[in-house]
Amino acid sequence: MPCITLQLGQCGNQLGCSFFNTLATEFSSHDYGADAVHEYFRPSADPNLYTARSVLIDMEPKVVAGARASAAASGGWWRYPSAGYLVMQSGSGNNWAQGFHGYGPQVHEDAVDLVRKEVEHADALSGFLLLQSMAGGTGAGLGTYVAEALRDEYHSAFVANCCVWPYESGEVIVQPYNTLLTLSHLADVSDGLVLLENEALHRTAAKLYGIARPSFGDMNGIAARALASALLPSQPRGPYSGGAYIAPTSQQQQQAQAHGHGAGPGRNSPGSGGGGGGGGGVQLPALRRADSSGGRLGGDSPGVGSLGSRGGCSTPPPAAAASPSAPGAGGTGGLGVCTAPLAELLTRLCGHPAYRLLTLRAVPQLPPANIDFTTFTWPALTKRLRQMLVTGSVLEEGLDWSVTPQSPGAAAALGVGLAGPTVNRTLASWLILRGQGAAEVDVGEFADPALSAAWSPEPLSVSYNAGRFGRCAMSACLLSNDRHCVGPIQRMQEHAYGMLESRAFVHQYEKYGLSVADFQECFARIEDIAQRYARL
Amino acid sequence: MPRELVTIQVGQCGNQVGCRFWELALREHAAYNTKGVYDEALSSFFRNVDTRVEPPRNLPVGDGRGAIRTLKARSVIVDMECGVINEMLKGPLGEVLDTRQLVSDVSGAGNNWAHGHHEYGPRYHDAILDKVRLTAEDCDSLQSFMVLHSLGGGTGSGVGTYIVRMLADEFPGVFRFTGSVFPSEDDDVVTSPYNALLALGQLVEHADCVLPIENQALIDIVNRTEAARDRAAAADASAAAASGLKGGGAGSKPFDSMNGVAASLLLHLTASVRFEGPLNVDLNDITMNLVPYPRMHFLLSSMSPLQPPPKDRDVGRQAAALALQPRTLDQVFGDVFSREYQLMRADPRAATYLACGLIARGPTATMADINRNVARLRPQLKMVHWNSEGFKLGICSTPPVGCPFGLLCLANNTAIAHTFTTMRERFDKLYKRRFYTHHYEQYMEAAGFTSAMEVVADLTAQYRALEGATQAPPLTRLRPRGLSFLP
Repeated sequence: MPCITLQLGQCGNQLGCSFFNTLATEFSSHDYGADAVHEYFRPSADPNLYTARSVLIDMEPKVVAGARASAAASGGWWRYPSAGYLVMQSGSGNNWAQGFHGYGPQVHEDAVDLVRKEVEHADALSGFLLLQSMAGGTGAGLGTYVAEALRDEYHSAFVANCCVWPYESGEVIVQPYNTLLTLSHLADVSDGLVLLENEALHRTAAKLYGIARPSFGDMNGIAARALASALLPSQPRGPYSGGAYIAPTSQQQQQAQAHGHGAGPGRNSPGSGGGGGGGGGVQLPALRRADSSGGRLGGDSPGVGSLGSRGGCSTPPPAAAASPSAPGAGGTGGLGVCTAPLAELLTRLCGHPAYRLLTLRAVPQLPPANIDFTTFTWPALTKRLRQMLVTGSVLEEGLDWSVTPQSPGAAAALGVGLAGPTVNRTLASWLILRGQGAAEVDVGEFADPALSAAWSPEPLSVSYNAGRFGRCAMSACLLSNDRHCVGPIQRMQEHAYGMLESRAFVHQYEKYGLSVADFQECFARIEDIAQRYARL
Repeated sequence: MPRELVTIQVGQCGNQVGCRFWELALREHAAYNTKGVYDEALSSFFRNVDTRVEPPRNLPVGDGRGAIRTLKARSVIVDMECGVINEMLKGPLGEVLDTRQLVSDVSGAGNNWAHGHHEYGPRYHDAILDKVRLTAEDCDSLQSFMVLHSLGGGTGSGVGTYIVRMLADEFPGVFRFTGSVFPSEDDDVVTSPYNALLALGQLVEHADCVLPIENQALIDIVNRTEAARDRAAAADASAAAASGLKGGGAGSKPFDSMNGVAASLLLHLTASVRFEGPLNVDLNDITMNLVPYPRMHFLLSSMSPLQPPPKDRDVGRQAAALALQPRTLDQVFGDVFSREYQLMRADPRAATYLACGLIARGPTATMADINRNVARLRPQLKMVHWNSEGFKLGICSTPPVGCPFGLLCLANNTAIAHTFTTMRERFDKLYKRRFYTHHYEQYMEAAGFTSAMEVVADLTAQYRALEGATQAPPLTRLRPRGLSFLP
């Protein structure tokens, strides 16, 4: 189901260009099926070219022109739509209020029109992915306005945001104001916010990719690869070895139903590929929950229930069986594959309205030159990824191995310090495994109940795809709704409070109708969010 | 399509700086626009005119590949005496500067701010407004005005500030930047303290952003560069034999080079508007980030390299000049925060920074470099407590002419309060005894003096209050809604 990407502001446009380039490379190197390609690209008049389902918006013309030119010049098989962009001349001046109250109403009609044209090209719309930064004026202010406008126009489509958190040392002096204003508004409007931190991307590039002086292009590449690794199609499976949903101790009870499990989502057998979550059809929530919670509760009746449901939808929907012929659809590619991964991700991970901030971790983080010389093993990858989750780090190195989910500080910490919580806790996570053996590998350690909040209904979902990602024989990606975001938010709050006390720069925002009371309301909302996450 | 800037050059100093600016702008664009096409970068400062038809027709940018016919500068030239302007129009810039955009009179303003502001201002109001409107209509989307003038004389300070006020009324949505040359201690003009303070009062109220430049600082810079160049050239044996030339402008006031430095400032400021880069900084970004309170809009500027290497005939001196350019990007960062590279005689490190903006130019500049250098230099700077980490950063891919990288630093720093205080002292010396005030009272009331004094005193107090405010007072945090039972 097509998903439309909106690239807002300089950062959003540059990141979006990287994102589509990464998707294009991946689609060329491995066949994910026509549906997957049609999620982000649509066929154009020229049979050899696809058009990205994307709308580019910026308040100054140079970046959009650059993005479109680079897509056209790259010699790849995709282009941006020839008329799908909106630019103004004067820029937003790093002023959130100018983007939101100034340009918002001014470009409302045109922007919604552009989106409508793009939606009309798609036969069904699953939702929108907005790429924006939080520190500037256009991405932050106008981006928030556009998100609200889309929410109003399209009630049934999801609105997902991928927001770039600025460097702690500052890129823009008023970034505390802009970032917190954006976050407070998007927390209500967006269905899920993936936060990408510039600082973390920079350290990844410098330490793990060996780039001595990372540029924005390098950092965008890393972010785009992580995003693509999460958003490319994958099939659901259980967390335990062989793709089982139930831990091995109760495996003997399942022997009787081995044929059911064997034919279940863990295996690539055509014909019963449907199973689990997203085989192209809509499943009732009750059945879906019974499937995946089988692993936690163990025992007989969920097994029977899950067999029943699995049996119920083990006949694949006719659409999936008769995979369309476009780019050489192979045998396993089109069947049982999650065709709306972003919608699925948001539904599972952002179930609670107060918890919508997602952190993205992808392994391995290797310079491309080293990939051919590295031996990949699943235990190495999953161990590191789990420790990244436990410590809350987004980098694959410098991990503190002494921290475990049982360490002190794991419990709901009152007054979490500015360094953030020492032990991470999730509300829900989704682990995506890619590469050979991704269907069978045991990742049961991610299902550790100590890692997640006690009241969380479905703490872990796992999915896999046998295709290689980024030439790595094995790779994994973890999208989790956890409290890693509390640290950066609190540090930003300190700065913002300091500025507001002295009323610094407030007159620039007052020019566009924002008052001190609005600021205070926004900060109160942010306190809410941070406190809730801290007590997870 | 792109954002245009209109330059308004007023008075003798303003016009001379303006001329150098146009020369350097043409040189910079010529270096990067080898195919002679009229692209968007050129369009910010120049119009492309087809002079074969009558009346001459403006050619639009279109797809950015049209050939250049005749370039005309987007500028308005104002002077109350015609000597300087005639010189300019007779020289090589006569083609670029349009005589339609000229407003002049014969007798000059007699170094009297009140004569310029209250007499010539209203008299030429309509003429100037007309020319400005014409220029603005030639622009697709006008982003800002740049007024170049000095504060010590009569025309530049009087008519210049009158124009700034007029622009505030007539074009409220367009930014008003001024490049204002502040008089130095030993200024030639006796009444410069009066002119400067009265003009300053106007700038505080009506300008969006003022870039103060001090003559004495420019003289020091130019003399230093000349001395270093002479030493370097003399050290080179072949150059010593071949060069019968003495350094150009080796007199005590080498105005040409000084104006070149001031003009380079404008080029660096607008580089990100004209050329692309990974992190663009527009002029409204600058006003947004560097002006924390409405009237505190005076930005101390410093840059490295200070001026493009001159087109010297002598190869030896040219090589010596190039050798004096900064060698590494790290070096330019150190330069830009040091006293010698400031365009005002102020030591920003001794005072408190309210906000600091850094615009790096060059294809090799990355965020990593900037962050590294900022981290290195940040401990030596005193930043105000509510902006202890913040810098406004920008990267433009196109380097300045003659050097692979460049850096411009715009600082809103409390050191300017010292400058204001010195100006006020010089003013007081004359005003105490009411020397020369009768010249001013011909055109304005005595209250004009007191109101300017008040405005400037207020602003100085504001800056002084923030000096040394590096410690944060205790904050009142907001209670989260619904969780107010928390301690």
